[in-house]
Amino acid sequence: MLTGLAVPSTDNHTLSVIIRFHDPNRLALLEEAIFSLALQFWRDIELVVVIQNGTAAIEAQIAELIEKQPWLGQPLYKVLSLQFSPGFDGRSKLLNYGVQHAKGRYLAFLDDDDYVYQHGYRVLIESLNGNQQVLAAGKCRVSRSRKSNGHWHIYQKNSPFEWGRNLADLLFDNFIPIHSYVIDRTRIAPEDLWFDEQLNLLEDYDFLLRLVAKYRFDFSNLDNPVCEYRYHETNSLQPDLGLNPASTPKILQARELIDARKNSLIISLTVLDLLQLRTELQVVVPTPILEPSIDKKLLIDLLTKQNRSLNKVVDKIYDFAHQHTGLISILVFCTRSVRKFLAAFR
Amino acid sequence: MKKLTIGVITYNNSEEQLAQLSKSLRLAVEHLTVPNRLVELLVIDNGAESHWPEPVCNMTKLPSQGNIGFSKGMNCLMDAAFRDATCDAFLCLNPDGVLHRMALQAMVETFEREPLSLLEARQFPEEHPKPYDETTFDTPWASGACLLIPRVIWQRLGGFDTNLFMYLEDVDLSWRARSAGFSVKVVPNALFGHAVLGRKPNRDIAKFLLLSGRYLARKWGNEKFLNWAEGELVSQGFFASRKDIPAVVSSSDEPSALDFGVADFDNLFYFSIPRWT
Repeated sequence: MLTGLAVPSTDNHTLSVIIRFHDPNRLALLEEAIFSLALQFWRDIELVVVIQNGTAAIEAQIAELIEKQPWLGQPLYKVLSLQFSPGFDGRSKLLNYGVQHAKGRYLAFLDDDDYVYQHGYRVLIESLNGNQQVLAAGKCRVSRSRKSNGHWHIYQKNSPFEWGRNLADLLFDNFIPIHSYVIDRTRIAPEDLWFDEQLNLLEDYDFLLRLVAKYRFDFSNLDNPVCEYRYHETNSLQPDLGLNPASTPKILQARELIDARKNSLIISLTVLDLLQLRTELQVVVPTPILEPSIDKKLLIDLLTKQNRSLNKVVDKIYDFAHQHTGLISILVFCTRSVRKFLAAFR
Repeated sequence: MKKLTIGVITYNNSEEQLAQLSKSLRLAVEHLTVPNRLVELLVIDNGAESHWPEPVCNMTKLPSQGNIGFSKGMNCLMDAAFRDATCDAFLCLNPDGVLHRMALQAMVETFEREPLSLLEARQFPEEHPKPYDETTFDTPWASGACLLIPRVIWQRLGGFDTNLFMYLEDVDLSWRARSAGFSVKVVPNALFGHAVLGRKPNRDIAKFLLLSGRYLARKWGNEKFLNWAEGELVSQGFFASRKDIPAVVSSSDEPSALDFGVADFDNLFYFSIPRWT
């Protein structure tokens, strides 16, 4: 938990964008990320760049890069450094440090090699302003590029996170990359705004899990591309193809910590109500369903007799599991069964 | 001393848009280190009078002639620009875009290396998916949003086809350039911030695009695409029937000057096999 965080006023319209920066060799990529911020239609932006093992010289270089972008008006920014032992990946600490220094009502995160489309933040903030939700997420596209003849050549773009549509899907796995959402800090308790510093991977998913178990998210913009995840040779993770072999032990360890989080996380009453636990489920889903054999019969009934879509089936299973346990681990079990079954069914 | 003239056609653009464009222009000129190179800006208003909040490098406004469209507007600007014998290149620039600070440097450097090519900046963050060669940077056609036209190409081709009021005049110019033996290239390190995603569907744009596509198909000998465009104009409700669509005007280009082999109508408005869709 971070201490000393204040809740911004609702008169505050500033979006604080926290950028973590690990590698001085990626200044050119960072500049493109910052250029994408200078182009934003949402103009009231504060940049908080947090550098791993930054020096005064690197801080000055980054400040100069920010100043040289075509902002309308004077840019509002902070460039900060945190020191770590050699080889330590301080990604969660960098984010927390950025959160502690951010002044904006709205909060977003951006990795140094990704970028946000011009309309991205405006769409998400306007969406939040039209409801009472804590976080609005948009669609994230993935581009794949290679360094070629002095430039990054993009050879493919797709949307591998499209499978995720709702709260239930997010409880199953992460489909909301860290730069594809905006948080309204006036609707969130300061003690909930922290990244787990034990995690050096999947810290973003852990953060979302804790929030989504407690607060309402706005998923209404998932068909609107707001940002791009750039996959290239220097990424640690491939977003849709699995792992870079060098990262495998780290991610397995992170997965274990995520599973532990899912096993222990209690769903708030607000979220339980969102899942409509007390209504139609009792009619649709007979008990007990948690044994795999009964799962299959139930799903066949749902698919063939009631012609339900995949997501609706998954939703029903989630809902049922929630009602009976309130623990995410059961949901994960059910979802895996559903997806495995559906793959065979098709 | 050589001059690069940047041409901008405004159409009721907000002061905010023009302020950001002019700031980006100032930054890009400040970062232009190619020796003996001047930059000037020529503007024509196709809509209301434009207001540029920040003074830009040697800016001149031509008298407005009303909404004369993109091709005629750009041709007016090019005629004025190339009257100056020191001007060896013209940059078409959309008013709703923003140059990266290094964009002019990359464009001018490439122009001085490749003086017989149309050169297109890379739109950012969403670049056009049409392909380009990673080594030569050759591309089937270039967008007019941020497009450098060398004097020599303008002298040979005479600017944009004024039968195209708006849209696809850049595809036509690119194909004419390739037909005449010039090349068309992307300059990937020249970034041009241009919002192409998240736009609301606009029926006027859809109609102009289809009408321009129909003209392009007739000019470049593709009846299949022409039929498809006419079918869309009717099915999307722009015309009650095919016979209600105004006749296609004749192109003034000599058919012998057009190499139909460079025209690709197999991929709808991509006019090439896209890297992604």
